[in-house]
Amino acid sequence: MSVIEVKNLTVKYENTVALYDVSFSIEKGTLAIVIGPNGAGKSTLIKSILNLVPFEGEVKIFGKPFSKLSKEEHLKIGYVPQKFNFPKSLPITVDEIMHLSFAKIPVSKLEKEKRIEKFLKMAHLEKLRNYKIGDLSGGQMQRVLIARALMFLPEIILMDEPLAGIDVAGEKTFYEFIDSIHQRFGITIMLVSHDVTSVDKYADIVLCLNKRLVCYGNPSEVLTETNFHKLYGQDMGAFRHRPCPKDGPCELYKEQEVK
Amino acid sequence: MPLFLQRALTAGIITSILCAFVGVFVITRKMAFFANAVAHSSLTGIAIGFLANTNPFWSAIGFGALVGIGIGYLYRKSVLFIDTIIGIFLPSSMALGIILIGFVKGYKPSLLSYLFGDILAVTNSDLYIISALSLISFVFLIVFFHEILIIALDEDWARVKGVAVNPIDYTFFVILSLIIVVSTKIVGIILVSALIVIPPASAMNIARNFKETMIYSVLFGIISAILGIWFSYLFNISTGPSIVITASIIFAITLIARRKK
Repeated sequence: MSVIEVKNLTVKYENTVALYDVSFSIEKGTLAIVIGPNGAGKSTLIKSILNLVPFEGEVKIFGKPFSKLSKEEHLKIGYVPQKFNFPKSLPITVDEIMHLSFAKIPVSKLEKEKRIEKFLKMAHLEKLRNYKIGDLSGGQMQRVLIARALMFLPEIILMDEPLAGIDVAGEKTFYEFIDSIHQRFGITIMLVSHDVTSVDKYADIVLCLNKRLVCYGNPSEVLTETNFHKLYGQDMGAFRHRPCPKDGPCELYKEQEVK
Repeated sequence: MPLFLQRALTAGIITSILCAFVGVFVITRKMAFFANAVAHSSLTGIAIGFLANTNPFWSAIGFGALVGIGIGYLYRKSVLFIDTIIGIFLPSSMALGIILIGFVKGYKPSLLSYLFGDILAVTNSDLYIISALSLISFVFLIVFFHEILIIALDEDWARVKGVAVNPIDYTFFVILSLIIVVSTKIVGIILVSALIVIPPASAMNIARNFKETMIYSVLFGIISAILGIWFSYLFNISTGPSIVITASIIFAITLIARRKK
């Protein structure tokens, strides 16, 4: 069953085309990773799905246009923005952000407390609960945003470059965390990433974007030399760690080989 | 205590509580200069009131609200930064106000009283109006507290969660404009932004969380109003500037306290 359907999506910013005629669908429980060069329209795609930018074409979540979703359906959608744009000097704690996000949601106070505790713990943030968010590192802040999205028990999570602000060591931990919540809760996850080396290790579906949808499907099938050239104008060698047969399925990253 | 001083204190305390409360949202949204633009635009509203032979206070509120909505609209729809938009509205509306005041025949309003306020001249009817408008503003801010804060912190996330961002946000701009124009009666057009910005900024120096920020901000607003009016009476100095200087001294003290932490 498709939970996200995109048909002939085109987005224009004044005279610039950000996305052109993009069509795809995401099945329930899929971990989809969107890759592409800078300015390819990756963030715009996420924002279009969430109705945050004006677009032409058709976008449906749970089989409905975003504007027709019920209050309950809105709560089933998680969103992790690229960054949290707030004044660093604002004294607001992790705990307050979690409670604020939960305000006026029809869930009992006890259940809210339980969920906040559970997801902060899962994101290894329990010790940072009373820290001001301005004192957190980029990676810690990203985990707060993910925990905030998860505590609503969403069926879909869309993440716009969640690895921004996370160092190389943190990337692996991040993907393992995402993989674990994906496996554990069966959430449909769509995330934008610059890190192409992790795609075939974690993604069920990859969407290669360069204003148009260059490729879409199982990573081992669509990550070919031809598609990489279309996407980045470079060989796969620039990204992979072992030889790959020309224009054939390719595994980009093998942990044991890096060791 | 003389009656005029009681009225001044009441008006001062009411507006300082509101300004300090709403000021936390204003700072969170990084739009400290919004208050300046709306306050300066009230001069045009005052001039329109005199020209139309109506109560300038209401025309100031109306025009201030229009400017507030205008800034809010351009902030959403244009590619300009908020400070650029405010930088356009502030001098333009001030200039328009000065030109329009030139057309007022007969009794001309004293520019100085509008620019620097005249809290000691607050009448009973002024006090009723200030109280009623403050009550409306306060009810809105309390009822939509969470929505206003979440929009200020993360507007996209609020939209995804189904918060009615546009109606709440535009109402916020109108209420904020209302608070600002009402407060110009106390400290005047030029100094009103101090009531909005300084108490929350002082609170942020020492607060450990958002709850404390709100509490300290309101507390500092009240202290500034009471001490400012008292100093003004005691030393026979202008009341508006006296309130602002008191607020600034509190800011300096909290800044030192922060550094010593």
